[in-house]
Amino acid sequence: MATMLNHKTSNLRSIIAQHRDAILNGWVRDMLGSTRRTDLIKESELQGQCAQFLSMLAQATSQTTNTQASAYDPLREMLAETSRTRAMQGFSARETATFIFSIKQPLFVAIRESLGKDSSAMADEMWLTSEIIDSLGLYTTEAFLKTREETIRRQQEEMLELSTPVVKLWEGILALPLIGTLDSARTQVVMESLLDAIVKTNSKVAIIDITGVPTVDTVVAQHLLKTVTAARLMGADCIISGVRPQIAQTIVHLGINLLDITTKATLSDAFTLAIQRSGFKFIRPQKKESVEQGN
Amino acid sequence: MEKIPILRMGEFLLVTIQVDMHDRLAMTLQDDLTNRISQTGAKGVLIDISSLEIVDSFIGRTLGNIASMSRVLDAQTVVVGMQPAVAITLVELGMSLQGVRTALNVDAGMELLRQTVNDHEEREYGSYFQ
Amino acid sequence: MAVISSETLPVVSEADIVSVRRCVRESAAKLGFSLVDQTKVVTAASELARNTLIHGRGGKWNLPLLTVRESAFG
Repeated sequence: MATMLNHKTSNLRSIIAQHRDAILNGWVRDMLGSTRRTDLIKESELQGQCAQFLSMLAQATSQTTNTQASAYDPLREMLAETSRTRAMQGFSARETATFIFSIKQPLFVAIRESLGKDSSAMADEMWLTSEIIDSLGLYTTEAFLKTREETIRRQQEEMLELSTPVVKLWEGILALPLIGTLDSARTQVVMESLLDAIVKTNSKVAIIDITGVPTVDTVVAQHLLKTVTAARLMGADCIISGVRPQIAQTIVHLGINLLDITTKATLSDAFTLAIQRSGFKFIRPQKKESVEQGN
Repeated sequence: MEKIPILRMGEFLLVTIQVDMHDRLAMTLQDDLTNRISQTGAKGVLIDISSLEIVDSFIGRTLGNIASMSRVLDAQTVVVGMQPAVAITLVELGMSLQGVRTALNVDAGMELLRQTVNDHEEREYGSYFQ
Repeated sequence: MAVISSETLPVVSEADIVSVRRCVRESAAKLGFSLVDQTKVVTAASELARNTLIHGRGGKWNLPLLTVRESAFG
């Protein structure tokens, strides 16, 4: 179908030139009617975009009807940018696509005005125009989706950052509860967060709790080792806590060498050790025998 | 010619490396340091690298050499202030700082030096004096 | 791919290693590398430059900055 139409030329340019104002008014009116998002975009801005699109459409269609051709590059760029902005402003996919598709009606009205006498020419022109607008509309939707995907990816990265919180347990003692899988990307983020926190809080001990890490294989172990080595290079030491019995078995079976890294089954044990290593001591004050303990 | 200054802090020496070290500077530092240790009878050396954004294998070797030389002269060495980015790079590029003790900052370094010197002396002389 | 800029630095003395570091650091920063990645790249460059000096009796350092043109959909 497309190849058949490529041989045809479009008369849109002259039609648009003749009925420009009518097309613009009709288009903007239709859009504002159906998608009244004046909260997101001003009418003047919308008019500007429509006018620009119309000019570019006239220009491109005078050269070819093949929307994949380079003559349509400026149009595509404009649509990509508009779509991206719409996506970030909070428009829905439908609202964004409506920007393009709602030009059909006014264009068809204009075409009928110009070619009404010749029904065959009018039908051809309308079909051609429909194909072109559909193609551009689809492109707009794809660009919109791409922006959405980028936003999702960025938010995923931010979630990654958030899911590696470093907690200060005591003066000079940090805890890093790891939750989820530990891949290379995650390890980088984890390492950086931990080391930055060590410097910022002057902490000599960091407890890495792996209760929330489902499996510990050689890869994960390597990542943990890297983190501990980096911390040691800086002058801090790490204790690994939350080692479940299965993990202990896996570590031995896989022949993973944890060097001289101390491991503890519970965070509590790790904390006790950290306190000792830091030279602190918890003292429970003596109870006075003569005082009646109420409550 | 530029020299890296060596400050005296009690029975310890403090060296702050702030510039990109090259061959000659490293040699000069080793010379100056070993001389100062001898002159002052210093028991410990603190090397502050908190200004170093890059630690390559050359710097690493230099630090290692300084630690070894000092040990021969009966002084302990502690390197302090390594930046996180540097630590991560050393680990990722597989470089190690063999035989060099580290601490987070000058204070922690001093404490570690005191401990290390005490332990060392206890080990060395402890058996002689009961 | 297009070359944005290209620099050639001589590597014949210690001071040149410092220049290489500075040049690589600038480029890495311009390309938006994170601090850690910048450090890795500069350190690696420093090692290479030093090896050139020690084992290769000096040479030249060429750093072309490349750019990749994004297609319509990136």
